[in-house]
Amino acid sequence: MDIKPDLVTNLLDVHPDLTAGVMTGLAWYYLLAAMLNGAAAAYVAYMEMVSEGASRQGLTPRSRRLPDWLMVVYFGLYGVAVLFILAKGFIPKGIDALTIAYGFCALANVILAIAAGADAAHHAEVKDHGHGVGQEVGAPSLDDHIPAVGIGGPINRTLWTLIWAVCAVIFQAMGFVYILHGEYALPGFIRNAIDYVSGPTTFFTGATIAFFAMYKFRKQFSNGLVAWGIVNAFLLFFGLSMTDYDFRDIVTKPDNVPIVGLIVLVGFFTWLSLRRAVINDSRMALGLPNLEELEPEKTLTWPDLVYTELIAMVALTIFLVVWAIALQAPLEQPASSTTAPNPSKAPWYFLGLQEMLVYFDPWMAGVVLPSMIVVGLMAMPYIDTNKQGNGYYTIAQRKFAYLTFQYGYLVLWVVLILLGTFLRGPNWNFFGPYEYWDVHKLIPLNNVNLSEIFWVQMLGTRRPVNILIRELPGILVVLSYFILLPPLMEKFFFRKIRLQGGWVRYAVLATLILFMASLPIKMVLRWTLNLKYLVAIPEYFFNI
Amino acid sequence: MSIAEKITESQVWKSIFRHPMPTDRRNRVVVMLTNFFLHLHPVSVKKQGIALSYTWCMGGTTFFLFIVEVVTGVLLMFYYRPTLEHAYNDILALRDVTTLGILRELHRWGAHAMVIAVWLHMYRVFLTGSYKPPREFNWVVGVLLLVLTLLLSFTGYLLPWDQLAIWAITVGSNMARATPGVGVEGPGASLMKLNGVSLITSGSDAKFALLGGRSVGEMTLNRFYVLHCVAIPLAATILIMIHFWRVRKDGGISGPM
Repeated sequence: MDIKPDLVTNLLDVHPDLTAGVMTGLAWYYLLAAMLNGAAAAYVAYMEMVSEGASRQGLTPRSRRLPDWLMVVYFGLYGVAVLFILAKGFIPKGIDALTIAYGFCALANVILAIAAGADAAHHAEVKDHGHGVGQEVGAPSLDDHIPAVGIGGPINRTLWTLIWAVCAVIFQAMGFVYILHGEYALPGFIRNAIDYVSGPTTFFTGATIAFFAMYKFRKQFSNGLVAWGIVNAFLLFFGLSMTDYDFRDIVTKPDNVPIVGLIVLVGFFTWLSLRRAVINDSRMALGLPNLEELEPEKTLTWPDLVYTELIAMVALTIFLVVWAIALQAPLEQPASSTTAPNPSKAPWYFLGLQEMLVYFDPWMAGVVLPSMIVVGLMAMPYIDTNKQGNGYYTIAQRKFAYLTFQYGYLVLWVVLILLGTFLRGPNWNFFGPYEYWDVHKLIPLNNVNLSEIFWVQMLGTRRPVNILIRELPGILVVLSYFILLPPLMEKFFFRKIRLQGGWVRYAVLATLILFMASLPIKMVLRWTLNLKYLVAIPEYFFNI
Repeated sequence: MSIAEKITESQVWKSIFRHPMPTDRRNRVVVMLTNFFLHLHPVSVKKQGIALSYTWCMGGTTFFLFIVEVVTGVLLMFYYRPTLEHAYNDILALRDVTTLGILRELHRWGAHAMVIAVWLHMYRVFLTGSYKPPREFNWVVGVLLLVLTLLLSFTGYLLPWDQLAIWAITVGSNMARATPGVGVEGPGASLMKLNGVSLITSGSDAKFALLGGRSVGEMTLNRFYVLHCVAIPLAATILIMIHFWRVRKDGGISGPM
């Protein structure tokens, strides 16, 4: 493959997996990944990870400092790199200042990772508490570290320092491959395999399974080391995927960039809240005050809150200005009411609703269900009569509310937005992450209505002419869903909630739950029975 | 007396701030009571309540982004004319000709960020159970603010008048056509008849009311412009004031009861 500058490839309208610009970008991307992992290795090796764990053991929470020589070397090398970048204009042609700067940064990352790994391995032999010159007796041991309550057993510092150090070196090596113009792209067979297994069914089912796995294994998931492993997997997946033209094309669309940010932010905050909830639940089970009760005293708003706000505003302003300079807002051809783009997509925050159009008619997906979301959100504080869990993170004390809301937000809202944005192409057909958006892709549409299944396939007769009789099976199904299920659910699942809140609250809750559940149910019916509509009265635009 | 002291002791300074610099405890209390902007806050707050790992700072971020949107939006209004003739070219000029050509970027990325920040703020409020009594009604106000944020973003999406804009709005507003009872392709619309004359037609249904026409056109641009620049920001401002006022009245930042 010969590498052309970006401008040429744009003019020729070819679709290369790797261009010079992409490879430079990837080199710096992996540099960042190596930097993060080097820092992680140093953090595990030198710092107190959760001082709360040590203090529970009666040990003084304390941090070791990075050795001075390491600090000087690390920041010195980064400083030299910055100097090279700043002095780019003065350096004679023929010498690539950026590549030299890259070399210095990479060297710093590798030295940090190796030093941290060697240091942790060296200290692993020292098993006693308090060692070395000037260390008080009772300092936390370096080999095993006790994390916060509820986050699992002692952590082997040496092992994890080495793991992150190795990750740092591998990422840095990958960065070097790209800065030296190595043309490594994700192998085609892996891409094809991923495209092959991708589909609305696997994507949505996978997300649902992942959600419940996260909940089931929340103690392991909320451990910082596991979470960092997931971050590394994501970094690697993203870096490798960016070597694919089609993946890059859709992910770097200016209006899609915020969604990449959304994934990162939602992921991080989901992890953070889960971690705090796990710690709180374990603490409360032991009779300890939860994290939010640790500092009950008040503090003056000036300066403690006012300064935080000021710093946040300054940081946000800088962030926005950098974002605005780096990425130009999209502006396509002037509006033309005759040439519709394919696919035509709503703004990204409505793409979950647009995805619902696959399973529901516009009056349901675009009007009724969004209204139910808004009404349901507003009704929530009035139907949730559980007095516990007010003002602190907890799962144990409000499992049902927590799970329902989080499933609705993460899977039925965010995941569907991702599906609608990144994986739906022309004609709203599904495309794998590395698949070319072919306008002519043909997907056989063999969906049938319930009336067809009931009268023709099951009874072997023709569908009745009278609309109401024709649709009677579907009407009965829908009516019994909304009328028969609530009492049954009350009997088997929600007795306590109904007793606490009364029938009116329960009726609202049951209706909302049933509307929410209608989406996954409709999906499963589509995937298994090819069901189009339960009730299909197109004569009156009434399809469910 | 140093120059700094001279300034802070002058009549002009004192008339504006009414007290010395908040360097001691008394003045740190007084400043919160006498400054119009600061008086949104209480004098003192729970330590746990202002921890970033608890609040994620997302409510404040949302409000700050709203202010960014107002400021950049007003500046954009100086350059932009909401007519078929000018809209697209004005946006082009904003990008290519105008000094400080990142104004539209700030506005657009700020809007995306605001949608995300609102979601994360509500996520946090839910996960900490902060919508529970006595804050039920403020959560409801918050949900309305979420709807207004999405509508602000949606109406603003049309204004550049490019292909991205009109087709996104077309896809979005096609839903209105299917509104039960009042959309021409919604269930029940064909039953809305008076003496055999249909009340709901493509010239009188919910979509027509939203767009000011049968399809996205100049009247839509005008309508969305007014909604985007005047009507929704006004409504949002009022709700934000209520939201903040209720935060104080309902006991400040939430915490274990």
